[in-house]
Amino acid sequence: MNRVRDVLMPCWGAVIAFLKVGLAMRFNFFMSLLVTLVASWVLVSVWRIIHGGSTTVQGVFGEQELVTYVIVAQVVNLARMGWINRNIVYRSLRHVRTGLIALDLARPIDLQVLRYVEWAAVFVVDLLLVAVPVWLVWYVSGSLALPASPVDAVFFFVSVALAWFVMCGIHFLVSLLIVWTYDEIGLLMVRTAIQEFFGGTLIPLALMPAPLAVLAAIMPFQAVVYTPVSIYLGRLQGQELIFALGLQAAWGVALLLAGRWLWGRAAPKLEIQGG
Amino acid sequence: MESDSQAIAVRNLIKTYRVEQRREGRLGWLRSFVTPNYQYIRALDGISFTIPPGEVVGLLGPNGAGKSTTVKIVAGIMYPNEGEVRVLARDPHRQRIQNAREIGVLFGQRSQLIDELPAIDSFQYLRAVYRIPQSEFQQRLDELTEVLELGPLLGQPVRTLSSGQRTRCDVAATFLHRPRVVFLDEPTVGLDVEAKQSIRRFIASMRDLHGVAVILTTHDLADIEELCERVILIDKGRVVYDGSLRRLINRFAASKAVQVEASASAQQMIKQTVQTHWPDATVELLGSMIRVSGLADAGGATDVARALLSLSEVGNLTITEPRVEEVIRNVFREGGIDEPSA
Repeated sequence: MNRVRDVLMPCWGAVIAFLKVGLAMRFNFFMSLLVTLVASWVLVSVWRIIHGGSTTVQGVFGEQELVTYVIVAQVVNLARMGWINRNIVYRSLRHVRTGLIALDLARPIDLQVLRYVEWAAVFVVDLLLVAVPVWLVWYVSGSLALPASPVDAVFFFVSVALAWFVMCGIHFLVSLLIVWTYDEIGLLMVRTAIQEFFGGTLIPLALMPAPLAVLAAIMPFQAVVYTPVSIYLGRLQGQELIFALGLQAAWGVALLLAGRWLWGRAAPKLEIQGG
Repeated sequence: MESDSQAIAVRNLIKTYRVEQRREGRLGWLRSFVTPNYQYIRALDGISFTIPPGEVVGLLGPNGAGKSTTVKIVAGIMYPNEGEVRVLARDPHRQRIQNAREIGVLFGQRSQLIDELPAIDSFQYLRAVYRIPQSEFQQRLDELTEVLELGPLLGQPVRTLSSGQRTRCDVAATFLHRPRVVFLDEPTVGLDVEAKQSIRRFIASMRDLHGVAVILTTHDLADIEELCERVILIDKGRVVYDGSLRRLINRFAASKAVQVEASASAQQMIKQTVQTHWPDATVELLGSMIRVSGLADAGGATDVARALLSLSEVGNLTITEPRVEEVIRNVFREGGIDEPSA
């Protein structure tokens, strides 16, 4: 019991601290809200133009479904250049480059655990203050369908939680690459570009031509956006649904282990120069 | 290592940095872009020392000597290329987390407080991370608040504090979990005299009350004079002196400094006289006083004093101890000491 408490107490402390950090960034939320609303409006407009009044796109998506897809994808897009990426993830990258990581490493807590826990805290804040309001705005405007069924809604939330787990793995690996690349903004932009395309945020993966769709299927990014959105739309059922959730979990664990391995290699290379 | 009773034991540390070097020539900047030129710089070149519990040791050296690198390696933050480190008989790299529980760090240039939040939130975060029981935490926080006068600062976002206020909060954060070994890297940088005093008093009390071992790096030698009986001097990644501060002063500044009250015209005359006869000496004007230091040997001071007293318009003359600053400057000017340890 005590051992459990020994492990949980530092994590809980970090969660609380970062909840507070998140809530201290009042203005960043309004910007994030705005960015997400604008991005989803642009994508909705683009797809409405492409759709051009025909009943389905490539025989796969009806208009209402496509619009719902695009909006929900924006809502759960953990790679968006909102405040989490611009402030919190950027901060962990900058810590490595500027040597502030020295202070993280002077603490009796595993660096990877610390990062996952920090990101969990800000993810909750982002969910409540950005994702839900954006969803509400679109819902009230009448463009958005509800989840296909109550059961799908429940699985959708499970899937979003797993998506967060996968995203932490991606964040952590990217934050270690800074040891070799020394450019945090560049790294984040590249990651966001790749992730938004291959994760299905811009174009549903079902509409991609075969070679690209295969490429997207073997990368972890679809586990962050495409899977939860497909569940929301009710496109994954039964065994397919269970498999998709299992795949998300598997990606989360694989990235966690990859992060541990890479950190083991990066830590001895860390050069913190200057006072 | 036989040094398990030591708070800190370091043997033969070597650390090499890769540093980019601009290519020479007119288009060097362009060629450096295409094919960067890296050089390996040996920041630490075989550093060894031990520090027992309850001792505050000053780590001194010119910029780039390897002080901060040594601190980061001993704290378990950075890895050495070679060499052995033990902190409280542990390997701080293999057992980073256990080690981190027992150490405190303070980097004067980098705050450990969460910038966006009031300091009290950082303290509560540290309470959880170090698993300090609530009652103990409250008691220590009260103590620290009183000694470091944190009261009104606790509720203010850290980024709005002045550097002196922030440093006081940082010092509290360093000692909150009662570390047994503490690394203070320029703890008083950028502070006014009063703030420096209160921080020095606090460090001394932690040493005396709790037997904390401290490595202190600083450019402010008043910190050293007040806190350290022992100093380690490093230069170009090597230990050039490790021993008592007193001994260093006696050995290295056999000379005393001569200080004398003189009118403005006399000051000019003294300056000329000294510069003619003792070209190595340093002459400083301090208001109505003139100070001559850096003389080659003990006899020098007496000779200077005699010469000055023979001048007219000269008042009170005192022969004083040299300042630590002058001693250190001499050590590095002469490229270190032949017998490195005391």
